Amino acid sequence: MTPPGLALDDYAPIIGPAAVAEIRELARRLEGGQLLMVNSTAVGGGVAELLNRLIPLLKDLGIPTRWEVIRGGQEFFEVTKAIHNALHGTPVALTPAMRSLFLEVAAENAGSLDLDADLVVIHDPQPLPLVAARAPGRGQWVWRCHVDVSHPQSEVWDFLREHVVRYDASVFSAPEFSQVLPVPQYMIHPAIDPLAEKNRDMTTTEIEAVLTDLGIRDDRPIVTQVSRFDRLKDPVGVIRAYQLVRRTVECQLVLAGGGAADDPEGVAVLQEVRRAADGDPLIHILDLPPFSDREINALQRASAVVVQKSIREGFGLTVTEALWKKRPVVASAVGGIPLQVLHNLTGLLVHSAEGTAYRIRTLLRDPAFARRLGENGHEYVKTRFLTTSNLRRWLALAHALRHPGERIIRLP
Amino acid sequence: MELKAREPFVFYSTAHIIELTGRSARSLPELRSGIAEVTGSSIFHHTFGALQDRFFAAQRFTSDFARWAVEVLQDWAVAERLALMHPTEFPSIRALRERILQVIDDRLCEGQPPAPAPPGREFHFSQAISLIYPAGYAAATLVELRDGIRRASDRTLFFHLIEARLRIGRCTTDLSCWLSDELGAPHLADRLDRLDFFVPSTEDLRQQVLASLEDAP
Repeated sequence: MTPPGLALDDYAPIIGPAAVAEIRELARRLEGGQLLMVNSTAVGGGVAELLNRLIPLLKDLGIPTRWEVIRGGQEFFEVTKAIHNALHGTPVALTPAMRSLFLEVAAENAGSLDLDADLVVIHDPQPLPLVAARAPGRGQWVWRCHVDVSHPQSEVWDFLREHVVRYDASVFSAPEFSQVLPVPQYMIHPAIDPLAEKNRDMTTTEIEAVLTDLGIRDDRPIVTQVSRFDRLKDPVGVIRAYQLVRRTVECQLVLAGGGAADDPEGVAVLQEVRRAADGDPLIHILDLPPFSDREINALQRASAVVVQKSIREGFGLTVTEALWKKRPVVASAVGGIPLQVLHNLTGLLVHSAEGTAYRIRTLLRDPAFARRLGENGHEYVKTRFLTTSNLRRWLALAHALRHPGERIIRLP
Repeated sequence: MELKAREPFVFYSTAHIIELTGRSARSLPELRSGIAEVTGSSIFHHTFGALQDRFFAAQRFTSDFARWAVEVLQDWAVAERLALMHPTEFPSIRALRERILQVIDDRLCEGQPPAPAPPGREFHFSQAISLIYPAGYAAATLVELRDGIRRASDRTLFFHLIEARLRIGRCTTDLSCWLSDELGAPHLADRLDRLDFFVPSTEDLRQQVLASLEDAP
């Protein structure tokens, strides 16, 4: 895998030259140790997106970094989808045949991939059993779990756990997402890239052009939720909240998602959403194709309020994106959202459709308060949830793994 | 004539990685047990770690213990007492830990403890692994020191003014030590030691430090 070129200096206007210099100093002291990232897909999905941005920066810092992607057939990925659902607590029967296939595909990949590096980072459960192929005494292996495994189906977790404990360390996105393990566990928050198409600055002209293309008139405040059409994102609840707001305040609603085309459940949810909208011309339901980053960027930037009314959520990177764009956010207090939305400071946390309506109305009526939340949110994301923070944390972890048991590490 | 130090003051920067301990607390007594047993690194991280970026220090408590006590246990009294701890008050993390335990013990002796946290709102203990490395510049005179303070990052200021004192066990701040021992300016060291670090932003802190280093006789 060879992601496109990006240089750390490109981020200096955002995080400042001092922060860039500090990252370079941290990297220089790793003295060229080789890094290998392994996941299950090169494009699509949050992990591929993250690696596509992170790896060029690691290379720019002089750290030899490779990216390997495991291969597996459709049956294998059906097994890993079942495992993924089980980790989220969905009852799943993982048969002996499914387990065998999971391990066989890992063994095949171990035979064909070059897994030799000083630090090997395995992302998510799909390539987890590769650790069986580690050469004795060579390199350190870290399992980076992007999934919330706090309430898994126990049988499936026990099966995976046998592999997790063979790693030198594990990394989770938040303490709440982890499990008790006998190996050290670290926390690295997910991150967004401010220079990516989905987050880069846009001119007003560009934003207006996208709105025109999508058939949205900018003649009244836009309230937006960006999420795939999934019941756990509660799009029908967002419509209910919007209808409550419309009793007293003028606005329009955009529900922008994707993935319905190849997801039977997504199709059903999209139908439910259309029924709930009941032909309201001010509710725009956009089933966007993959890679609609420019459209999503423009929609978020054009919004007076961004909503994320999830019933369950992972870290919630759509919230991070909205905060980065200085949008006032109204979001459910679930998953990783409270780590980003500090109530009354960087956004507003809610627990119901009524609460969502109340807070949207407040923000539409008080633009100064909305602006203050947006500014705060932007600054908060700048320090904690950008690719550059992610990079710094990976460098710190690489150093920490070289000094096991030490809590204060002095670098020369 | 400008004073010149025998040894230059080397500016350092830090990076942190957070390690999860796997330990959590659902109630004030469980929080107390955890505080008594976790590492000093964990105590420091939860008490003063947030001073590194100073977000919203005026609007919310910077101590994780205090914030959890008010946001989850809804016990304002213990939260306020936990919040009012200043890095300069404590010669060591041991002393800091003892003070925190005393505050919780006093609260538990006062009567009924607050209701436990609902599921999913537990306090998760973690600890910061600190990497400390030269930032690439140094000062041999007061003028150079001021220049260094002006260019220092949030992390550099946090390290020299807060972390070095408690985690590395320096006498006061390591800046004060240098002013006193190497530059022969104990009055400036004394002034620096009396600063209040609970200011709204890093820029405010920087200006305070620079002001304390002015008007040298």
